[in-house]
Amino acid sequence: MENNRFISNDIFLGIFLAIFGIIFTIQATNFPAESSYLPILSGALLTAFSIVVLSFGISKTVKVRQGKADYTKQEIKKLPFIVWLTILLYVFAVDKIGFFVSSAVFLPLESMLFKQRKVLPIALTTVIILGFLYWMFVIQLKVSMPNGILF
Amino acid sequence: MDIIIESFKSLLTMDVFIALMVGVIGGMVIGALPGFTASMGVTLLLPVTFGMEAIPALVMLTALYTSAIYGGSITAILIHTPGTPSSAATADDGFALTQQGHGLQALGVSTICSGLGGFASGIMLLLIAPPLAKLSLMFGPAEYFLVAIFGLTVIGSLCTGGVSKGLLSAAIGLCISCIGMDEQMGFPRYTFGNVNLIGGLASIPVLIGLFSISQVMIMAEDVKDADTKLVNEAINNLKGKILLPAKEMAALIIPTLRSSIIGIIVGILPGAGGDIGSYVSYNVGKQTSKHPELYGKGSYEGIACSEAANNAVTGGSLIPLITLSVPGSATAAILLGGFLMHGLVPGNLMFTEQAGITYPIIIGFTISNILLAILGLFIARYVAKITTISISLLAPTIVVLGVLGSYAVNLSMFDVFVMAFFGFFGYIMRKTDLTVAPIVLAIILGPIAEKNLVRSFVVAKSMPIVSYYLSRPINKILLVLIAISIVIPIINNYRYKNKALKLSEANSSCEADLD
Repeated sequence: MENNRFISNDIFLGIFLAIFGIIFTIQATNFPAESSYLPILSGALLTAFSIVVLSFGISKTVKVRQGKADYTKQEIKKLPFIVWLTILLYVFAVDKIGFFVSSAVFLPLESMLFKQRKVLPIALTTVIILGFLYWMFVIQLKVSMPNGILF
Repeated sequence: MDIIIESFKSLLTMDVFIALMVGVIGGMVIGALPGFTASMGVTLLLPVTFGMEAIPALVMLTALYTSAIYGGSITAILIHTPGTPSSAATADDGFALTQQGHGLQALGVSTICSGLGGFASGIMLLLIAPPLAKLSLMFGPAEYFLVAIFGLTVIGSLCTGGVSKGLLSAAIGLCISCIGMDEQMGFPRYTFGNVNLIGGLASIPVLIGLFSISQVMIMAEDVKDADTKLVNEAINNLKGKILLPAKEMAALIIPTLRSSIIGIIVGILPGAGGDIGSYVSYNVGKQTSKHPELYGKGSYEGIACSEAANNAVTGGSLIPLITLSVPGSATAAILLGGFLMHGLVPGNLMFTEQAGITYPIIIGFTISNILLAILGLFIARYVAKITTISISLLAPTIVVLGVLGSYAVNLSMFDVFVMAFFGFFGYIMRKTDLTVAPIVLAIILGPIAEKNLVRSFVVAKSMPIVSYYLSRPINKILLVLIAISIVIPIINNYRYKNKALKLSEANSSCEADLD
């Protein structure tokens, strides 16, 4: 029963990238000739290989549905996406608030998101990492850090 | 000879010494941490080298590369968890020896053989690269374009997700490399009016996103720390002398030498990394050994074969990188970015005008392998302790380092957003079996390929471009190599699938008979 609903990921991947490749190639045709060689070649290759992947995906789907091939069900987990969203929020915070303040908040919170419950290791890591980065980038390499409204 | 002496002199500075130590010890630690690869280590360290001189910076990066490959064997031997894929072949023999109470001796063999393999590859790099670079003088724009395409097809064809997905990844990378102002005509492409995109996407934030941020997301899938008890037990059980008796060590000389040669050859092949080198060498070792029955059950020879080969791959992979701009592995592709960032252009120029920088880097890399062997004998058992650091503390640290590294490239927050985007993209790629390495290579080789493609059109003048390409003998060879690099993996894949199908049919008919 489960097999009848199986659709290979390669079908979605192939369709998405084939459309992207076609748009990419069409846009390249508006460029001056010398600027368009590689974009046209890249777009055409992207479209061609996407179609190959799509056809493999269709063939795999048919085989699995007919019971001629096995497949492993991939479980989609939420935590990686939540982690990515926190990274994105952190990047926004670095831009608006400043690197050191944002990092001082991000490091403990992200550790907790990764199921760390002990306060001492979290505090030590935060202090050591930020102290080292301040010494390395601000004092030694003299890199001007993203300041934002704070630090 | 003078240049070699001069190169040694230029290495005798405190900067280079510190760079070597950071590279070797840092590499061991990164390699020992499961889930952390040499590519990730080099990517995270690359932005730190901005403020450094070219020699210490590149000595540090190449030292980290070879040391991380060795570091992977430490956890493979002690807790049966290869720190890097290159040490997967070491895990069975190494762990079996640890269980038999010979873990320390296994570490000793791994350390010495890794150092010897890497050292041999450094010497070969020193001997082969200069004459090979002279060959590049025979190359015109058309040849360079095809060399770049050859690099992409080889690395694409060797990907785990299959040939089509490997080549698809390379095509995605080429598309990304097209973003920004066209160098030849000064025409902005795919910038959508965004000034930040005019210079194109900086490669380092893209690399950090693809390798490091996506790895943090992978870690989040299954938050599981190393078994502290197992690590502590393994370390406490290490007893005896780290070095085997002289007679037993002498028996490992031939396998080590043979494996080093295999590793160097595999390394030269674009796209074939340390994991392939170690498996090929391990299998050859098993076939030629007097005691093949010990392989997989605790063979020092097995460890020597695997470890000498994977470290020999590092120097081997730098040979096509330095001479033709074609990296032999994913980490070498990132190193190419480092070379370009420090103003070194691969090819004959590196052994003429830039010889004063190139030779010290090669010699520094060779020395780092000796240092690795000496330091490894003293600290390898303690490096294993590092694996008990929780993922929950490491993952956020990687993100913070990644953000800072991406920002430091151009002091631009836009680059940090690019890193975050490519982190997500890299994760989706991994989940759909698309490999990251061809994208990285394509992003770096794209501009080189484009420059030479446009030039070849100019040089061809009124001649049809296909006829022009076919009129040059080196091009014909390169075109054949490109075709082979695509066709052979397809045939192998087809054979493997057929074999698997026949095996499963045979199994099901056996089951039917039993029923």
